[in-house]
Amino acid sequence: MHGLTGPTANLFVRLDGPAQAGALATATLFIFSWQLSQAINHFTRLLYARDDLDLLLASPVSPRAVVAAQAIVASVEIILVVGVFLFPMADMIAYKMGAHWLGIYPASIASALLASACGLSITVGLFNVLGPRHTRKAGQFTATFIASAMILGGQFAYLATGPTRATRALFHKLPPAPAFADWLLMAPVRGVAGDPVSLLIWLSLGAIAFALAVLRLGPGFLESAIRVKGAGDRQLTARDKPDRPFRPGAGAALRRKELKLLARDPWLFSRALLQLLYLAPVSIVIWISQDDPSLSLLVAPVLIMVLSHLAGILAWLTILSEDAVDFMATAPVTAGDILRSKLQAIAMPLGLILLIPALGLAWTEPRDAALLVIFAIFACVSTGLINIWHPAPPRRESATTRHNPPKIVALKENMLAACWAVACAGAIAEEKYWYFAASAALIFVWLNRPRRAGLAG
Amino acid sequence: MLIHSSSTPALSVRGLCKSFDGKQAVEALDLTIRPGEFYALLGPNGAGKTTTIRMAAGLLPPDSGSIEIYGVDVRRDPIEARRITAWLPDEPALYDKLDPLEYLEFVAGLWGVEPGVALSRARDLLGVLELWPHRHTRCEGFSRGMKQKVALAGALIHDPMLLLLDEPLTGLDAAIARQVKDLLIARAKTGRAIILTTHILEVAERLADRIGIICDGRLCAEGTLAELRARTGRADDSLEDVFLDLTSRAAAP
Repeated sequence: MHGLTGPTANLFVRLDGPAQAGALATATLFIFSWQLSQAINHFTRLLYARDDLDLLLASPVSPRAVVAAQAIVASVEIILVVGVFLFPMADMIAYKMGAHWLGIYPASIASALLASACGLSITVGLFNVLGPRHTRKAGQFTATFIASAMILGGQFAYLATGPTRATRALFHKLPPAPAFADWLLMAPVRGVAGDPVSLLIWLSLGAIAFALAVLRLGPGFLESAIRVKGAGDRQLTARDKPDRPFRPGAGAALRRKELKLLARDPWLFSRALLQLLYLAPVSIVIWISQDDPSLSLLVAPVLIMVLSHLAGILAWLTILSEDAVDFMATAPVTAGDILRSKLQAIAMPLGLILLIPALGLAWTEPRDAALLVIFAIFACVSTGLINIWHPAPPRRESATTRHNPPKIVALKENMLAACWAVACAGAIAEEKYWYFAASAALIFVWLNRPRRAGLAG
Repeated sequence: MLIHSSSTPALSVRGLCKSFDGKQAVEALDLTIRPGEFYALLGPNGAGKTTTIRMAAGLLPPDSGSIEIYGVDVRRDPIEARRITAWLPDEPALYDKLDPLEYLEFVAGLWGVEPGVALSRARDLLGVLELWPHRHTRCEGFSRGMKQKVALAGALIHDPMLLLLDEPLTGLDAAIARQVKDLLIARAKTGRAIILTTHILEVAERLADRIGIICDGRLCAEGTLAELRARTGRADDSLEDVFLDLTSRAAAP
């Protein structure tokens, strides 16, 4: 990852003073919004993951301790997810500009604590206003909206004013703030740059917000979880749907089942949409920074990142988190038939997402379209394999939630997706680095192959 | 589809053995269940009932011994054996995001039931189990009993020749348990064999044609209720007394 983040770190190092400050402020805001969105998703999911909370609620552990533990888990998760990209970049900047830039590490922890506190508060607030039936969707929408509004807003300013003037316009056109307020608002940014006093303030703010949220909202959060559990049994309002004839075929039945479960998965679409919202602006920045920007360079890397993530998620959801493993083992079909049907079900939505942009690209740039399809297939297969080769422990309780892919697998997915996206961009631009990125991805997949016989699934 | 003669046992188990980490769970077990027979497999916790049922359903490979379902060897021809068998555990795993009708269509598709026949059976089963008004409601909001009924409908939609039921009535309220029992009795009357494990001895006493009692992985007693009573010399006692007598004798050194 250090190699991949190196060019971005170099760009930052070469900026002049005000532009660097602006870029830092934008990045701090961007990272906080990303972490906040992750935190809201985490707490909303937890609210509806009944099995995980049942035992804890029945235990003599205090509600605050339960919520504190969950909030710490949320903070660690979002630190790691952001850290995969951020920390290698911090190392590179520190290497080039001085050790004080390692302040990015504690600053991101402070940001994660504050994001967890805000995420918990927003989730409890949504539940109190909307109730158990609408909070899940509202939480997903809010998380997506926060992330996208921050990113798209910053991007809009960037595009409207030009790369070097963007941040100045953003910060210098605002009415002058009182000196103390300005100092306080910029404390996180100075903390990121390694100013010890600002870092201390930023860390204290994060820790205090985290403690207050857990102490004040912890019991309320658990009460909400109990209300969700109670609400589940009453949701028996039959949908008005005409009866239609049954359709034949074991393979078709398996594919229909998987596609229905995917289409009805409440988290899948928000995750896919979030990926797109995060990646699209970054792609636009890279695109317009090219001397001779081509449409292929705008579309292909983003699409490969989104498709490879989706392939990983779909492989995990359909193959590894099968809800009725034993039941399927008693059906008169072979394990190979089941796996084949599931792979077909995964390939359908991925193929559809790839098909439309690939056809559009083929109209003007047939070579680039072919490269996009080839690299997309490699990316999807590799992230799918990583999921299949490294399954979560086959526990029924985790299978029924369908949303607990191991974090280490998610990190590996991110790395593979980035490698394939870079490789595709390089191949399209006819730059030789595509070879290294593709080799890195293939070697990474090979290193992660199962070492012992007996695959799960 | 094989043509099964009436003289072929519905389930024939010979010399079945299974151990876990050196501990013998099932040891040299012999069982024969006839077509149309309602057989209750009883035993203390950990006696090997569920292991036996899971081996018969093809979910666990035995260490040794043979299992035949209507003459079909479960290990040699698992697909054909599964085609004529249904297995229902005490905690059925349904797909929460499917509704009962979608679940039954899925199961019928897997077992290759002709669509028209499957829809007709689904209507009947959901009607009998009082689930028809909820046929388009996703299972995620269902109570445990309702989920158990959906799973039972799924087990019956392909009209299996042998039903393997592992504690199907555990946790059900009286009304739902009655519906399930009535449905099972009706199935047995149509010639389908049913093997059921349960800790509710009253169920075995009322429903079973024959009763087998497993102790430490071995079949320690088998017969009709009258035969078991005669064997223990408890002519007027309940199955509970007979069961406790037989299991304590088996446990004695």
